[in-house]
Amino acid sequence: MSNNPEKVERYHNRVAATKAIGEAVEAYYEKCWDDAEKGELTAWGEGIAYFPLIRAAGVNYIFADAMSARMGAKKFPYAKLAAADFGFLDESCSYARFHIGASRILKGDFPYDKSFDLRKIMAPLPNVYFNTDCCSAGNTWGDLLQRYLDIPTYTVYTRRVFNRDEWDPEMNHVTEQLKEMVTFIEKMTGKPYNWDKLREVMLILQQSAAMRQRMRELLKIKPAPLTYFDVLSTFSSFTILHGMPEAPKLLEGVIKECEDRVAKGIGGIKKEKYRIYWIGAMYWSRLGFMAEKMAKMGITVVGGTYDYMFYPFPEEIDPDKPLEALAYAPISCGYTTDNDLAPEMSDWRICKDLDIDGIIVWEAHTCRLQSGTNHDRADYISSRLGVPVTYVTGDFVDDAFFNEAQFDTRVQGLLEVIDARRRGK
Amino acid sequence: MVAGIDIGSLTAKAVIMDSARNILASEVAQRGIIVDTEAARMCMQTAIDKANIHRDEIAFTVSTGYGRNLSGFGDKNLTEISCHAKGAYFLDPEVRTIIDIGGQDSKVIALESSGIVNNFVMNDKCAAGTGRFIQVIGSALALPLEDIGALALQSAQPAKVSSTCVVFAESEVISLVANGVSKVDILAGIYHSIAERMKGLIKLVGVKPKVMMSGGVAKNKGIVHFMEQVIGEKIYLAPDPQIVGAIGAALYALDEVY
Repeated sequence: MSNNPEKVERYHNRVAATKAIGEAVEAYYEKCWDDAEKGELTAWGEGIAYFPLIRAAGVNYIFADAMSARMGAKKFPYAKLAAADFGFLDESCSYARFHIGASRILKGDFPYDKSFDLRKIMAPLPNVYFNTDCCSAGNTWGDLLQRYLDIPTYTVYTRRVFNRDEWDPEMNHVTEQLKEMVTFIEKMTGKPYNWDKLREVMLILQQSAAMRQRMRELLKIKPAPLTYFDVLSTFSSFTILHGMPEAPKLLEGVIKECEDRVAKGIGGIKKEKYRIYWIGAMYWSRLGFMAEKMAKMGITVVGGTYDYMFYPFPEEIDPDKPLEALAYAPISCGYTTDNDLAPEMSDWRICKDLDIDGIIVWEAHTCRLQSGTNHDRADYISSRLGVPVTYVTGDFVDDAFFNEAQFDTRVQGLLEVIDARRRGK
Repeated sequence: MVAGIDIGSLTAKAVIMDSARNILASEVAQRGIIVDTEAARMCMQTAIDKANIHRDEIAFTVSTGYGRNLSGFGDKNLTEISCHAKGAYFLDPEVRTIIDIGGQDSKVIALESSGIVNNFVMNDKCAAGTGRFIQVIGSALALPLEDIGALALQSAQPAKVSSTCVVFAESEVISLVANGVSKVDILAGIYHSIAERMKGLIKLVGVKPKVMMSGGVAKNKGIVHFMEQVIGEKIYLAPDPQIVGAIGAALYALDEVY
């Protein structure tokens, strides 16, 4: 390895504007810590949470999955140990383990190396918890934290929808719970709910969704001016900075830079040879590492199913019907409903438009919810488009489940199959 | 002349081939617990010596296997997926499914009639169902590896082995021995459990005849027997199943030169 960083050859041409989003996220966490010290409310929640509802109430909201991802990216080892000490098997959801472990550390119930600044790694303890019951792990996770932290909790129960007939009843079921959630929030804040602010937050979310859509269009260009890893780097603009005025501006910066690249013929990686679709979650702990590794192999990851989470379509967000829009999100998510009711996650036409050469399925070892559906999706798209698939095992944030040699062999195998098909032998 | 070298976890395999696609020599080398650069180098040199040629006469070398990136080997490296597919198709163009069980991984490859890989799936996260597993069990039963294949075929009642982990299976085997279960029945039980594990992997790709097994474990008659039972298809074997990957690598080397 070179000691001179200037001499390290980079293959992933990272969109510089994504760094500004990272900085904004760090500033947000700092604000949360400062506000908590002043006695302001902090809320935690996991899954596809109804964060806009909480944001509009002026409460600092910490999305648990994102908090765990941040800890993984910062290589903080103690949260995982704290969870194991609590009795959690490594096989259980790593988002949950890291998050629960963090709560133990914040409460002072588990030691850690004090050279780590917790402000840079996690968020302050919450005063209230929002549980979304998006999966069995999520439900237990929220339950545990409610009891462990002894804080008020509101749970929104979402039932799995199996067919169109169940759709409207479930929408009503969730919407009614969201109305009660508003009452709960009013009780927590001691203030009437600010519906105007919610409208504003939903408008911002809608603008952000429109920009995400623009990014998906940019990925269709050859060579793509950005990669899926750049797209994922923008995720925090709507999972952490959701509804904040700077969010769409930050995304606009990314789009402008990409459009400029298109005009100059600059690609997202050094030399695009393969266009790959990524089914499944992402290895948040090593996003940059994965981006560089893929780029070095000549792979532009041009899209993925995870991009269809968290309000992906602007037309599904009606600021004048915010509760319905919020109810729609978890019901329509491809991980909590059947494939034909969340078509975008299995839509081979999306992959056709992206002109993909192959598929990588990332199996998050600690998430059964994802693993179960990803195979179906990969099979379906692969059979419709006649492209090969490879499966790699890793996780969201737990490095223990990633084996680089395994990854390299399986992905290289995929590329060899693509090459052989191109040669016709 | 060209060379193909398959550097696995337990063994290194080398094949020397001429421009007419004749295999001039092959070598399988096992040294120590893992294959290192020296073991791979010795394997290659032995194959070269057997072919009665000099190292300089090798125009191109393709390396494969997990050790394919070991320095000093290979003008080009390709994965075992491509090399086993090419090797198996060369040996029998009617092969459509390849089941490779190596020292530390197992894989199933589906071929099209042209020999192109249609689909593949690998298990390289777990030693259960690999050569390493059989090595551990052979050691636990104090039986030489060369004998434990055919022995299992003598079993009339395979033992139930419930562990899916190599380490726990070893403990279970010791416990079975202590309870008076015959080694033959234990071996049969182990092989049956390996076959059952492979069944899941095979189903992901699908079984289409002809089916060929490659890798060192294919030399184990007991495993082959139970695999045939589990998949419901006859399994064909190359004269030396262990060098199929190296043959494929050598063929790819030929493609580079001629």
